[in-house]
Amino acid sequence: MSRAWRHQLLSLFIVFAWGLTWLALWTISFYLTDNGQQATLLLPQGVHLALLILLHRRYWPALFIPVIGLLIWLWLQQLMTEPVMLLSPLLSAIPALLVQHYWHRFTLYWQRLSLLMAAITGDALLHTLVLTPFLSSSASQTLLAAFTGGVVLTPFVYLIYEYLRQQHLESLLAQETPNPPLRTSLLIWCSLFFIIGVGAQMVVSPEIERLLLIVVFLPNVVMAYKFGWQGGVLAALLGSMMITIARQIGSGFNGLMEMELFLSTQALLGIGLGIAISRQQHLANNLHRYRQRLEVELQARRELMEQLVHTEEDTRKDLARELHDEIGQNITAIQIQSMLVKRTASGDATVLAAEQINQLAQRIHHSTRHLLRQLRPPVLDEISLDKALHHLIQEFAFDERGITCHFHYDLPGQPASDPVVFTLYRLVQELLNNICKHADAHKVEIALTQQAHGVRLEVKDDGIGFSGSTHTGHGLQGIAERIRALGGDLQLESQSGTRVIVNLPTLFQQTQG
Amino acid sequence: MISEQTIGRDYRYWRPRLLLSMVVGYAAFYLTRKSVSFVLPAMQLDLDLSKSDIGLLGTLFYLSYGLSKFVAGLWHDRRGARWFMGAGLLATGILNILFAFGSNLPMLLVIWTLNGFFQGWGWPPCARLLTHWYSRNERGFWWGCWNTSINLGGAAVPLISALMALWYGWQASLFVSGTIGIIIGIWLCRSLSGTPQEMGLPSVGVWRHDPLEMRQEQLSPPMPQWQMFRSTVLQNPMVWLLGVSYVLVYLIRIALNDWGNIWLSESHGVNLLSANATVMLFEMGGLLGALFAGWGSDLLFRGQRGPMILLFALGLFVSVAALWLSPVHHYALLAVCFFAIGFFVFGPQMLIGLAAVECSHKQAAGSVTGFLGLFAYLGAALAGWPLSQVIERYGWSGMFALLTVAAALIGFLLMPLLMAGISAQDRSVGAMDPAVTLPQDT
Repeated sequence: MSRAWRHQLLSLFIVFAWGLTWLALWTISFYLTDNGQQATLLLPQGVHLALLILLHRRYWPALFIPVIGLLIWLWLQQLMTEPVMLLSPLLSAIPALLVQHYWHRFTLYWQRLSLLMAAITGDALLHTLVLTPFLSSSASQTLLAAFTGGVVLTPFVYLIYEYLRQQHLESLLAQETPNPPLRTSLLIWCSLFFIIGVGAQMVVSPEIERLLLIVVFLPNVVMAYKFGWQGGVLAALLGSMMITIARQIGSGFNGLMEMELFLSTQALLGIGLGIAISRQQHLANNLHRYRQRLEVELQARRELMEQLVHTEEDTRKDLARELHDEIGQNITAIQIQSMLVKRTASGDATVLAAEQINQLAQRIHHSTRHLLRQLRPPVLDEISLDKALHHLIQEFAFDERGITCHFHYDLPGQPASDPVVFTLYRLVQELLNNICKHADAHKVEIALTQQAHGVRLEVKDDGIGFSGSTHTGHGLQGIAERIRALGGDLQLESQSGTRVIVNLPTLFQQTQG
Repeated sequence: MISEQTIGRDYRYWRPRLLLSMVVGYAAFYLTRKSVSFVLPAMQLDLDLSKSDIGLLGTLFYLSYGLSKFVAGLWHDRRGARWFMGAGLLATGILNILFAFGSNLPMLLVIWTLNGFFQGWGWPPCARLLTHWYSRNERGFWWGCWNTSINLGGAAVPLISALMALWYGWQASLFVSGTIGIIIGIWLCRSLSGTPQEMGLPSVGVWRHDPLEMRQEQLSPPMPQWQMFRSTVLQNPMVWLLGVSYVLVYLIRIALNDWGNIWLSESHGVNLLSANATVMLFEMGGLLGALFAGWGSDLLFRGQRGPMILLFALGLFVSVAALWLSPVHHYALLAVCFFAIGFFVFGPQMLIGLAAVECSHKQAAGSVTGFLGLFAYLGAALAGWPLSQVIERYGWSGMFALLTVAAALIGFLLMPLLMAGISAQDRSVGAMDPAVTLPQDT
């Protein structure tokens, strides 16, 4: 179907549906106000303004034609006495144009609702200013009628429009759910409040004025609190209907003005509260979203670090094997060769040279061994962590320095992950190094125990502690970094000696290593 | 394998013809169904019937009609006989003629209840053909066109009945509608076809390349009838929700249709002819409303019926309230209000049936419309005897208060859909681009 046809048909639909709705709304307003002019301003005006703002300007003719036509008809039928009311639909076009100008700059619902409120106020003021000189009713009546109609119905039309627009935009993918979720809680709340309200009116209609406060304002607050601006808007409309019924059943209000004032107040309360709560919910949602995103980033960083540790460990392992296999064997060969040269040598110079070669080879051998140990403690490849640590502590020879050292090992098995084993080993090595060099301690306690999902290492001494954290050295800093990368944590306490506690998550091998 | 061209030619041959047959056939059904309501004011005097007698006649008729629609729907989904609709029409024509000779109340009740039973044979075949010959993104339009048959029938009946009753007495008007029913019934037996698959054609979704239609076809694997009925109709919350709103829609529709002319002639002193003319205005509005609703839901909401139902329900509430509250001695305004209610009531009346068919199993079209028919004619039955009690006790304003509440409830029942929709939108907009929304919000 071509664009022009589509537009024509839509306009025709709007002419029919809007024209009939307008007349029906006018009839209801007429019943409430008993005044053709006021009736035009009350209910139809609110919907008219909302439609002018929400619909595209090419549909404006379809909005104006039925309204003006019906106004003329009503005038001819003597249901409306003042022909100046024919200006009313055109007057609304001015605030509508202004609001449409700003409409697309503000995308959030509360901003748009505020814009609508501004439009309602402007519209009511404009009508009052222009029409009052020609009407028999007072300026305040005109103002209140236009404002009440707007504040009750305009946000509701916006709510409906938002829903329809969203249905329209919904793509085929979103239609995959054949049964849209039904929210029954709202239905229950709504009907409950409405039934209570109407029931209260039936039973205690003489004292309704005092009761109305509870019956109308309370639902407004609750609905706005539970459902945000949608709830607020809906509650405002229901409240208005309830007040109207109250006025018709009993004689709750002294006059039309009082009822309109009450209507606007409760509608403003519901909508204002709804906006505030919706905005709060929106902010809370944003915060929640950012927190989740941060958590994901942190998790990714930790995984990256862990991978880094693994890669480093693998590289070291490869390097160490290479060094051990290649250089080690060759040095041994060089030593043997130099020995042979020495035995078969004839001159002193040759013997000297061979000895020097041997010594050089020896030195290279030593430095290689040192390098190997630094790269990857060779003991760990052969013996368990338990024994390797014992071995390490013995190497420090604390007894000879007059330091008593207690080592307590209580793990169900060897930690399953290699990086954890090496980290623990290096950590102990680094800490004991520090103690030997700086601590001036007399007593050292090392404990390795199992805890939930991991191991706990505690190293305690009674030395001088840290004078300043800069002294802890880059070695410890690097290890602390690794521990965090492996998902653990490191605590340093420096009160009458030093106490280091490390927790590392790991699994344990079932077989005793 | 048939070529693409042949398929296209066959589809193009059958679709307008089927629509025409269904429109004429259903309008004839309507003629034989409504023939009594429009001569009731005359009959009431002749046979000395009270309001509650008339109410009882209506209630029994609508109950048997609703039940029969449901049973016929189940039966027709399984057997799919071509002559079904025609045979039903033939039977109702004969019963109409018999009714004209009825003289006492029990006999009238029996004949009219039987008539209700055969009336139920009309809708299921139509629903079945409409779901199988027309695809999702155009069905609103075709269904809307078909729905006009109700209004055409509804508009033609009061004229024919009133004129016949005026010239020859009320028996003649029943006699004429009965004869028309018999003739069209015989014609209809020959002119309807089965589903495209039964004619050796591919399904309409395949022919039209309509993704939504094909999706529904995929979601409708062959299964035993009872299981199909249970899983896609009984356990489908949408169908129940639509069903409950349907009760209310029908309550309003039938109340205005059946009581409208009595109300006009009693409380406004309008004569029978202009009262029927006003009810005809109601049907005219309905014709436009159904067309716009069907076409609008196709075009505006891509074949989704929910939003359009909501729009029409809001209009319905406002216009029923307006009819109730309109200044009493202003006939023109009343007539416009009747037109408005017709416009807004036939939108949901048509779309709810359509939506229910589209959210259930493809082979269950007849069953689900029959199931909805139960609800519909529960509403219609409520508009009979129970409503007459309301009118006798609380007067006409009691009836209108009740109808207004019913109209409000229709919109109200659809509100959960609305709230769920918008909060989902809030979430999805926020989730898509928080960086854009956040700075503006703070």
